[in-house]
Amino acid sequence: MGEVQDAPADTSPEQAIERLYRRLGGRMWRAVLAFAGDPEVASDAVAEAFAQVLRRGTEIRDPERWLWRAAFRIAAGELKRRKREVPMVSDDSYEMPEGDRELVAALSRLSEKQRAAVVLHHAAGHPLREVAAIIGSTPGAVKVHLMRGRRRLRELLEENEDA
Amino acid sequence: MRDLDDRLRSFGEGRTPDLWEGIRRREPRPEASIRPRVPGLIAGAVALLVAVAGLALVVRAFQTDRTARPAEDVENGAGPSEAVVTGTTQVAEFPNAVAVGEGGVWISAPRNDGSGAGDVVRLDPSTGEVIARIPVDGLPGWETGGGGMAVGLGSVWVTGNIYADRPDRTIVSQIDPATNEVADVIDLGPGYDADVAVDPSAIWILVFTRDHDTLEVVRLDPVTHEETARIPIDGIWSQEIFVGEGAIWVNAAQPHPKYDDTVGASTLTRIYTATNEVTLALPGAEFVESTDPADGIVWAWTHDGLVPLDAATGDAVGDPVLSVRRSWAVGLEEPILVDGTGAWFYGYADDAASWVLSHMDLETGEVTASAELGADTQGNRWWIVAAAVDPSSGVAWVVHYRDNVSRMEFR
Repeated sequence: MGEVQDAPADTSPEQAIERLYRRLGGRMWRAVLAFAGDPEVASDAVAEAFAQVLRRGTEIRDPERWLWRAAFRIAAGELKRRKREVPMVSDDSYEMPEGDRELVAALSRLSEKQRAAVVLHHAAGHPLREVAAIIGSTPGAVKVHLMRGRRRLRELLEENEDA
Repeated sequence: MRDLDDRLRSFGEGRTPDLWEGIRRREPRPEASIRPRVPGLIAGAVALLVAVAGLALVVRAFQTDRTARPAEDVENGAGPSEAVVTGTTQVAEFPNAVAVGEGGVWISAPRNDGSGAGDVVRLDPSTGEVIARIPVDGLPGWETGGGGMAVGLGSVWVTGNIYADRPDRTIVSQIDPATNEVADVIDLGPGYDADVAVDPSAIWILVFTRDHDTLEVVRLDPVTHEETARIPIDGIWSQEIFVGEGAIWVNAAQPHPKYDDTVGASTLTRIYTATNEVTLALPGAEFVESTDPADGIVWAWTHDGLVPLDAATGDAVGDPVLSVRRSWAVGLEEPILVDGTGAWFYGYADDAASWVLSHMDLETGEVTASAELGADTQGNRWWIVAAAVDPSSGVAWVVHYRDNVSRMEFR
């Protein structure tokens, strides 16, 4: 919060946003990848969110929260579009370790809210209140999403190990 | 199995690509929206929504396919010379608003059961055929006069109220034209909806506050839909909010100087989108939508007639094109749009014995085409609820009080 507005006077807005990207971008990309299951969607969503912040500058009061929320919404929109148009196909250009691939496959079987809550809280390290702000929910509802999502995720991964 | 928390945590710390150079060079999506784009739409085609209730009008910019009128006519500044009603569609009982764009004509059809809920009915803009009925929890609350629907940022935006909860709450529903589904519902809290407008920077909702006698404009982030500002508006009533020239414009009626039970004249109020500040209030003026890019000019309907104003100062920069006195004489009572070909008016013509929609040449002040607005299924021509006109195609959609929508072509 405040990284763009509070940047030193000799720092351009673009430099401030680049610094934000260097700090957040990787973690955000991994979280969106876990949510969307597709590196192409993750790259597009994160890049679009940062490009929007670059264009809009100080108009956005809390760029960090905005970026998280925007990246997840953009990814969710793209997933919906793909579901309508073509079957989901994973992009083989990004080599994901086998364990990660299993995890992403299991995550993809959770509901959208459960998946977003699990990823944002456990993979990206956001506290409950922040997760609620990002996915447009309440901390109480996020707790429920997390509890159900984790239980289902555990079952899916165990089924996979047994198979 | 490794501990689930460890697996998730280590996933979050894995290898990532460096996207920064691509971000720097990237052109953000113009609609600033997560909504997928609908193929086949003509970007930049602009039109308007006109809400008609007696003489109350709402105008909207929208995108649509050019189905009737040759584009070169619009580009050459040629106005239509005839108008015909090409069809009528029965949509629902008591429809109350219309917006056009993103490949559809969108009609608000409340359920009228006291809940505030109902359907948004989508029509094919070429044929008027019903394509979809989309249930939403809250629809615009006006019985007549339109307002509360807009097309922009790749979506259809519909304001409404939920009366099942106490206190009554205002919501905005986002409809995805690609799926005909509600993509998001944004809860604005206690209050009552009045109108909505969309520009690349935000979704702007005009609301009455909970006591129903003060106005606010609520600004929502176009991507995250978070509320980013609430701007009080001086006025007691309005159902008209517009975008234009880097600003938001509200026609806000003031208290009547003599009578407590009615409203007085409108004050044209401007909010700069860059600062969220009210920077101009022009008593006795109403905003008129313009799709003709004219640097720094907006059109207003004032006591003097249709007047071009400097968008920054509010000062008149030209003579009135049509005086109010003459407008009544020729049946051009309310301007609803200025475009590259002239001005569009809603009005009443003695010889037509009906409400009419007319096009006027701005140079000569003469009517170039005019048509009656059709009738409902009971033959009633007097209750026009709302209308939408697309100047790029010359197609107008008129919502009748009882149950139907007429399609008109201006050629």
